[in-house]
Amino acid sequence: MQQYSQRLYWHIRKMVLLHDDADDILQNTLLKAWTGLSTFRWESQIFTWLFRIATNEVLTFLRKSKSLKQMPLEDRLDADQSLFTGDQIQKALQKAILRLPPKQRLVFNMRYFDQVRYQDMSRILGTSEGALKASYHHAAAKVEETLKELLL
Amino acid sequence: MSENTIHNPHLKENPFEVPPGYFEQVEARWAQKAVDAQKRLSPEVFPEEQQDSYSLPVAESRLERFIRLLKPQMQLAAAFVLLFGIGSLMLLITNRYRGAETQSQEFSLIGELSDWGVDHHVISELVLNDLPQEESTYELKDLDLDELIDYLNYPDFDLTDLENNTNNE
Repeated sequence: MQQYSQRLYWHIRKMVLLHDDADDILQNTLLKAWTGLSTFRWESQIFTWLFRIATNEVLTFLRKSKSLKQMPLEDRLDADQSLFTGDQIQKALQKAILRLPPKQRLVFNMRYFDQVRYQDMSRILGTSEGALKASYHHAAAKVEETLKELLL
Repeated sequence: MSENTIHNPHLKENPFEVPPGYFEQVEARWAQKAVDAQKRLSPEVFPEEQQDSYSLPVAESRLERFIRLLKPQMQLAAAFVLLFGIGSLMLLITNRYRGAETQSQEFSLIGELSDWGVDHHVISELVLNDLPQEESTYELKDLDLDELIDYLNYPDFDLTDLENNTNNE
């Protein structure tokens, strides 16, 4: 479980940015996986299944935080200074990524940072590989453009 | 390649950190949450007096899962076997009763006469008298005497042979 929990944590953290929120979502994910283990179909990979649960939890959290008008995501980067050790260019990249819609952000993070295969991503997100490739290239172009703007 | 593009390998490095020892505690905290959730979901599995001594419940094995999934089907099959057994038993009992009924009809008269104290010899005679007479029985009183004499006077007829043949029969 430890190998999965670390990967799941970083997947969640890149989406919600704050450690406390990521920790809560990770705990919920693991708990849901534990209680739903009897419904797990053993023919699919447990990694894919866990990532699917985590992704759903993240999207639910982002929807709730938007409706509750919690702290904007860009401000979150500055709120957790002690746990963000990146330099200026890395911060700019994170801000550029945050301007993407949540699902596109998921695709970009999974491919860019974790090199998740499109095939696995398709199973996790329930989207076709072709659509995911298009989404990633579109997101990468937008991030590149925003990054240049921010670093001018 | 420019440093300010997403192709910069430095940008792929993880800029986030976690509190020291966080990942070592994650599993323990999750295990505790799982136990708490299990207690809430099924209090009968975790009786109040034993709750503190339980650690994380062991994940359901494949065999246990297989048995759990197969259990309803097995119960259904058992119910069918039980119903079939009851049906067969009922059929067997009914058939046996019917056989006894037929038999009692056949011997009911004899049984009744015996009950009335009639002697079994008398009963036998009554039964035998009811039997149909064999058609091959001759009525000797209807024989023509003249024909019999003619028959006996037939040439080469030996009365001794007739006697021997009759005895042999």
